[in-house]
Amino acid sequence: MVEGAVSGNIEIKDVDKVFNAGEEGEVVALRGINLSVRPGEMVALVGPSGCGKSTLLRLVAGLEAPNAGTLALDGNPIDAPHYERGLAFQDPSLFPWLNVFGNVASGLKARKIFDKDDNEVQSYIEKIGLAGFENHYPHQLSGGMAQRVSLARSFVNHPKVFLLDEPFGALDAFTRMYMQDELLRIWQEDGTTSMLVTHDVDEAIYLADRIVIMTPRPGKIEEIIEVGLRRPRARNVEEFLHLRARILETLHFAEKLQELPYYL
Amino acid sequence: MKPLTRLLLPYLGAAAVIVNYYFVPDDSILSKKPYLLVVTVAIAAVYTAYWLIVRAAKSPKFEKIAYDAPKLLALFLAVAVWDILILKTHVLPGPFFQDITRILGVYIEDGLQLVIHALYSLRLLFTGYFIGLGAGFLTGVFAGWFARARYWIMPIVKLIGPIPATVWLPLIIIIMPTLFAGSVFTIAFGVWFPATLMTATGIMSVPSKYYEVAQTLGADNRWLLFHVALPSSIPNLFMGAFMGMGISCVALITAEMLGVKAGLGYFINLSTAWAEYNKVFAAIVVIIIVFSGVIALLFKANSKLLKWQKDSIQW
Ligand SMILES: Nc1ncnc2c1ncn2[C@@H]1O[C@H](COP(=O)(O)OP(=O)(O)OP(=O)(O)O)[C@@H](O)[C@H]1O
Ligand SMILES: [Mg+2]
Repeated sequence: MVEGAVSGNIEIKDVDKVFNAGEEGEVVALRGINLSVRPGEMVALVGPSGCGKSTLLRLVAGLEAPNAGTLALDGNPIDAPHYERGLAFQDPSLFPWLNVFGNVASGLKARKIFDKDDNEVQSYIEKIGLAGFENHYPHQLSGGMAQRVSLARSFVNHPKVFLLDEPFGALDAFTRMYMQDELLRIWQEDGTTSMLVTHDVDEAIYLADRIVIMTPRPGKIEEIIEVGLRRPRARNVEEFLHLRARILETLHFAEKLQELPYYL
Repeated sequence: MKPLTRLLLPYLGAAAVIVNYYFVPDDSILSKKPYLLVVTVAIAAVYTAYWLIVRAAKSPKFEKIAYDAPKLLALFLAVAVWDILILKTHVLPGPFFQDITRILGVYIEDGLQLVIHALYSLRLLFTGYFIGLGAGFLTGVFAGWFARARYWIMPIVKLIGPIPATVWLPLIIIIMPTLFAGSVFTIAFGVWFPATLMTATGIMSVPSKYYEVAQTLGADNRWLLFHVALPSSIPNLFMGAFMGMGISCVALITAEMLGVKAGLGYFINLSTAWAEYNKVFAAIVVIIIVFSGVIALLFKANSKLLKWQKDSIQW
């Protein structure tokens, strides 16, 4: 929780999302989702592949419409994408025709608030550790570099809400820890409400105020866990390990119940 | 082979050309003009100066010159063989086939005339090409971006697009006020089809994730069109431009042969009528040079604009 954050309250009420998957009929991606994220809160979503984490972020982003239920940001219904809700996609999706600088600046340019003399874009490129790569094109970047550029592109736009879909998935362990701290710094400076999808339970505990555990078929919220550890957090203290065991157990238990053959 | 050995190969070719033409006996009664000697020596001299300078500058291009040297040898040998086939053995019959010296003579004696005709050709080509490209680009953007426009434009494109532009030519020449306008229209029409089709498919096949990213960053529709759809479909635009260039070259020469009273196509027709076949060959070489120059320019623009692409086509 960033103290003093006043806006960025996400309310998700009774949301269902059903996809028409052609011949196979319908896929219930989300069923009866209720979640309220407070201003300045950081929430992590964990759960097995296909439980609807990305779909939930896309709903909050306004890229999908729910089949039932409502979503709102600060009381305003969400019905279309808006820069207030910035989404860093699961795959970096950089614009291949723009170099690193152009990609990071693209939000500001789209909103016509880009200022050549302001070095904010540059400062974010430095924050993600890619100074010197400004003129590189996406095909010249590694997967992890591209992912960081995609994050910087969201951050520099200063949205009210960060929607981060496995933002550090392609990073090595050290860069990942560095980027986690960088995210925390940016989050604390801006007080941005954040929803973060991750497959890494340690990352969820290290970063989040609350951890939402989801289960698939249909995708729903199984349990919400308050982390309640003080920041900066150490990754090897007893409470941390205890939480970790509990989350893994919930995930594992849910999995067994489902007996998902594809997950083996 | 060592680079230096490779570099020397073309001199053998140059020697073969000169010896063959001037010293191998043949039954030609005309005196031998020095054109071939002058041109061959000039090419060899330029080549020598070039590789000497590049080598002195220690430029990496030196390797490339050595690598390509056998091609210059091949060119000289082709010239020698051409002369053998025509002049020395009469395997290829005159007057339809003309030896290199007589072809070179056209450039030296009628060079200005050829340049003027080439310029007329280029004027017609580019006028028609760019009008067609611009029009095709516009209709393509409309058809690609607006579903309603696509509904009406695409059937028209599909119906009349694949018909060779030159089919219309005789009719258009009668209808249009001037021959020039008619030819421009024909060329433009030929380019319009691939330009429209490629632009439209380019815009329609932009991955939706780019639109989604842009929207979450705060882009409006206008920005999506100008900063996502268009740049993302530039590779397709160039495909249309290349295909259109091929079509317009054909349309150009046809137009010049059918009616236009200037240009390389016309020059070829005229020379055939006067049985000046050396001029025909000379004009064909100019056409080759002009068209491959134009295509090379297009590729230059392509790789300049598409340096963000991993594997853009090389020329
Ligand atoms: N556009 C779509 N059309 C049809 N089905 C979809 C679509 N998008 C998602 N789904 C389905 O909805 C379910 C949830 O997908 P989602 O991408 O949200 O999962 P996820 O939790 O993000 O998984 P992962 O961890 O692998 O990224 C899956 O069963 C998927 O097949
Ligand atoms: Mg996902």
